Amino acid sequence: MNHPKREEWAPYVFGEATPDARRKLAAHLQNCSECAAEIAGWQRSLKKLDRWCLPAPRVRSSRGSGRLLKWAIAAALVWGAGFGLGRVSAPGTADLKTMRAELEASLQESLASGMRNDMNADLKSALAATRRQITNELQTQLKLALADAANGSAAAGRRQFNEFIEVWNAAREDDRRAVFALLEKIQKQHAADYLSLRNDLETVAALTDEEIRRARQSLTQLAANRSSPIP
Amino acid sequence: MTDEQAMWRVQTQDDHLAFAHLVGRWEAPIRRLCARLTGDPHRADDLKQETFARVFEKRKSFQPNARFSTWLWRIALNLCYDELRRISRRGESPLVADENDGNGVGKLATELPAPDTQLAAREEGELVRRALLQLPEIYRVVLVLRHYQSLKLREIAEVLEIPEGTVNSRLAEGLARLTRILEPQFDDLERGLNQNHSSGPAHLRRPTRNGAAPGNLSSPSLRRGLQVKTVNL
Repeated sequence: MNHPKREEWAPYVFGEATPDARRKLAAHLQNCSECAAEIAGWQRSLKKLDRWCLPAPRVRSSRGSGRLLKWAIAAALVWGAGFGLGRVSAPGTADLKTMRAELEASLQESLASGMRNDMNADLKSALAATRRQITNELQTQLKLALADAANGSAAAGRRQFNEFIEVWNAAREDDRRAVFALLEKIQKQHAADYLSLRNDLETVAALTDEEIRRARQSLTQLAANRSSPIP
Repeated sequence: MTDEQAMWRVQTQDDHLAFAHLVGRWEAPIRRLCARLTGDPHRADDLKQETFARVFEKRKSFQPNARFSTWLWRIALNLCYDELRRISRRGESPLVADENDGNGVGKLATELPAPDTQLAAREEGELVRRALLQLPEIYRVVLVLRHYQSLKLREIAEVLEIPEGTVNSRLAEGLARLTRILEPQFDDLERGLNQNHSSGPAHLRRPTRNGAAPGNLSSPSLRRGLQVKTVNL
């Protein structure tokens, strides 16, 4: 029988095999007792890995250790008192066992409830302090960010406005120059047109005078011809 | 804020709030990784501190297009490797469990399981811890990253900078070796428990919370079952 390679089983065991690979490997396991036994062993080992639990992190707070110390001292005192009482009253063996069991139970109960209340109070005060601190920090950050944003936007606005004014002034200057050039050109054209028109008018006037003179001369000659008898 | 954004702030502005965010988010996973790799939860606390000190120290070398988690895992792993080498050089044994380690630390007495159940659980945990420490580092690290830290196979390959196929073959080999170590030890442990359950007067066997009758765990037969066997790997 062809067994799959060993590394092919890792994605299968850890649930990361592709659907095709999973089907193929599952089918192989049904027909191969050797591989089935090995993979079952691996899966048992993975479950066993969960039996190793880590302890809680070290408590570095002096306040917490102070609390523990306080309870340890209280327990030692109560135990000491119990021991002294026992020595003084010197009860029988059976009584001693009963007393010890009762004392243990009562100590456990009182210490457990006391510690629970203490830890609850500690936890609540720590949570409240953390909440206050986070709120203050967030408010400060928000104010700073808003102030920065406001300052930044005002400065940027002024800068952009100045740039706009500069560009606008430059454009206006260009326009003014272009208009002046155009006006000058139009004025020159007008002067040239005026001169040309004047020349034309003078020519027309001269020609008209000549024609009038000729007409008058013709009329005079005609009149002279009418007044003399016809031979 | 993502980890990468926070790291960018740490990198460019030395933002202590962003750094606190990263520490808060990652200190527990890093501590667990160090504890599983070195087998020593208390040393893991120091390694965790050192990891974040190293992160701050090397903040300028973090590549903005890289994943923060990958970079952080690498730093923590390198510190763990260094620590394991130091332990090995000094001839110290990391195979010493703290008596207070285990499930019950930090809980109230009324919330704890019965003492014999606690003891059995602690002894099983100790077997697993020792078995993992017997594995060569290359197999231990992939098992720890996959099983305890729940990294995907692709992510493990990225952190360790090896091909994914190599991760698969190391996981397979690691599991095979672990099974060879653990199976006989747990069998012995169970045999020890059964013998103790069946011996002794019934009226002395107080039922535990899960219904099983406890045995006398300090008996020689159980102690034999708990002896750690060194398997040739």
